[in-house]
Amino acid sequence: MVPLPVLISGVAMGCIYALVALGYVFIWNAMAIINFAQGEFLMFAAFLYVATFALSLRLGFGLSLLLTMAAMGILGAVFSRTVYSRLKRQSQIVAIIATVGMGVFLKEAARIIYGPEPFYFPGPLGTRMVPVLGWAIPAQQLVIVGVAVIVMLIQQLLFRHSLAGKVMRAVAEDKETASLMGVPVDTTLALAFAYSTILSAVAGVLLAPLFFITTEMGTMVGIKGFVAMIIGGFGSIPGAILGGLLLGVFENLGTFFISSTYKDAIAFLMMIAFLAWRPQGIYAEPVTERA
Amino acid sequence: MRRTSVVLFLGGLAVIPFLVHNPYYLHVLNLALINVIVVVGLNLATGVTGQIVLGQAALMGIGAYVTGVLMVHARVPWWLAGFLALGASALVGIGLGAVSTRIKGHYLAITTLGFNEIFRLITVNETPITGGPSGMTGIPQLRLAGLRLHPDQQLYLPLLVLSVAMTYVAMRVYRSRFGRNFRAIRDNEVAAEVMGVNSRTAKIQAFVLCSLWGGLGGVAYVLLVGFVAPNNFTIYESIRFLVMLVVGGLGSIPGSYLGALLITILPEALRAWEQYYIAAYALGIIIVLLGFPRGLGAVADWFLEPATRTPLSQAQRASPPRPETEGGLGAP
Repeated sequence: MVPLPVLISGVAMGCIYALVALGYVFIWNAMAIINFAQGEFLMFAAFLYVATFALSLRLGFGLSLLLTMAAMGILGAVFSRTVYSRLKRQSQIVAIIATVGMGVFLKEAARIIYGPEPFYFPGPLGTRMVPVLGWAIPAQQLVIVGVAVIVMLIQQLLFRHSLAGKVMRAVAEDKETASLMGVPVDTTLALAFAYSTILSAVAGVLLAPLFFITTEMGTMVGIKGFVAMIIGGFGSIPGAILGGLLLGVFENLGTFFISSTYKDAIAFLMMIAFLAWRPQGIYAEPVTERA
Repeated sequence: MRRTSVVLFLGGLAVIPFLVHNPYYLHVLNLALINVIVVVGLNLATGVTGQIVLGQAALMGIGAYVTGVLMVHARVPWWLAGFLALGASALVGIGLGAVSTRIKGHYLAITTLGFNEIFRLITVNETPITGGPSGMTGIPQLRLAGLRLHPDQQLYLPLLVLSVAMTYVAMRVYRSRFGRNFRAIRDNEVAAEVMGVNSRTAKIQAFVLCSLWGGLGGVAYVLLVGFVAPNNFTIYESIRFLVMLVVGGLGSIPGSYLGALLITILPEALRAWEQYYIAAYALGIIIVLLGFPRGLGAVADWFLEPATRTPLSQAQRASPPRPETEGGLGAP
């Protein structure tokens, strides 16, 4: 029998992976680029939140979260216009290498700005435990799940019903036609990119209290978010969420039953298994060539 | 003129150990020459064949660790250990090549990245064999008979010869039938297959070459330094090889030579700006990719002219509207 805390911490990590995976999906749908710097956006957001807003400026949680989201959104829009919009026209291999370079740049920028020492900030909840069905569950994990659910609900409402959401979907569907209908395509792409970095900001703020904030913290999360997207189905929004949750839970089960030494390898094995047997992911979309 | 410049360049490299006696400078140069071999290998898979490899450091690590483990635990002589390490690298190359026939593009990027990370996990955790996180010490360094010089002084010239030889062989491969197949797959895989190129075989060949060159770099590294640790072969190192490749120009073999030398030596020369140079690399990689896709290869290819010219690039030179002859990496 699996203890409840193992499952819940798996779901909590799964929510983080899902947020990161959604970030990949939005940039992919907008620009057909896989942004290998996605995990580094999360890391940078965690630094902004902890080192700048929470520890230096001593702002409250809500305000820090909003400011981090705003700052990351602006950063995303700027990067989108200066770098990523140029990568659209390049071959795939050039885009891959450039976004990997972008990730290294963000990592180093964080190290230059904040120094090499790791930060720790327990957040408003600290290490408080909440009793659930007789088990003690870290409150932060429940917050992660709660906030992730709220973000996904807001996202659903925005994308179905707001004008900005409809415009973004139109651009993802067909840029030329959208442009003919008077949609400002470049601005919309920047907006989609900014939304993706805002998602990683949320993930970074949620993840911050669980770990020391280091420049390395984003790399593995970024890779696993990508794996989550592959498991769920490339470019699929429900797929990213489901893939993230599955990956988080399976990873924890593997750690619990097999070994914690090779925890990070589980994600890669899951990815290879999916690429071998179900390359289109759980939510299949009709594409001729995938893996 | 061009030939003289190349001879002068290599001659200049060859006289360095007689002029420079500081072992540390020579050590940096030796590492640069080893990196040349590794990056040339990476170029064969990534630049020439278009198969992204984000795990070249792990391939180098396999060469280094297999040599080290055999020499320390089994007391195998260095040359036999080196050969066996190359064999192991080739096997891994076959495996990666087979994977790359099923997994493409972004998936291959993340798979090779995962391969690098799994390699690191194994070297960190299998302490009885690999020495764990602190690495493996006491691997006998290679000493040439009768010389009582510092290892870095002894091995500089052999490494220079090896790096030039491996670059030359790679240039020959580039111009051969194999190289033509590689380039065809990079530029348009479907069209290449229609013209009779077996893309499966060619990709496996490219990956075997990539990991052989990488493994050889690892063997040379361990014989020079006498020490291996997981930190020498991380994903970050793989990205550094990618920087050298891009700065040298994707697809230009002589460019890789210059790229590896420059990116290894420059940080040592700019110690004062140590804080910033990795960030500068990362920006540099984006600027070079977007602004100067041929990198240093533009210079290197010109100096080595007839040898770097391929029938295809001659045809392209005849039609001026496409300036990026070798840098054109196929349709997006």
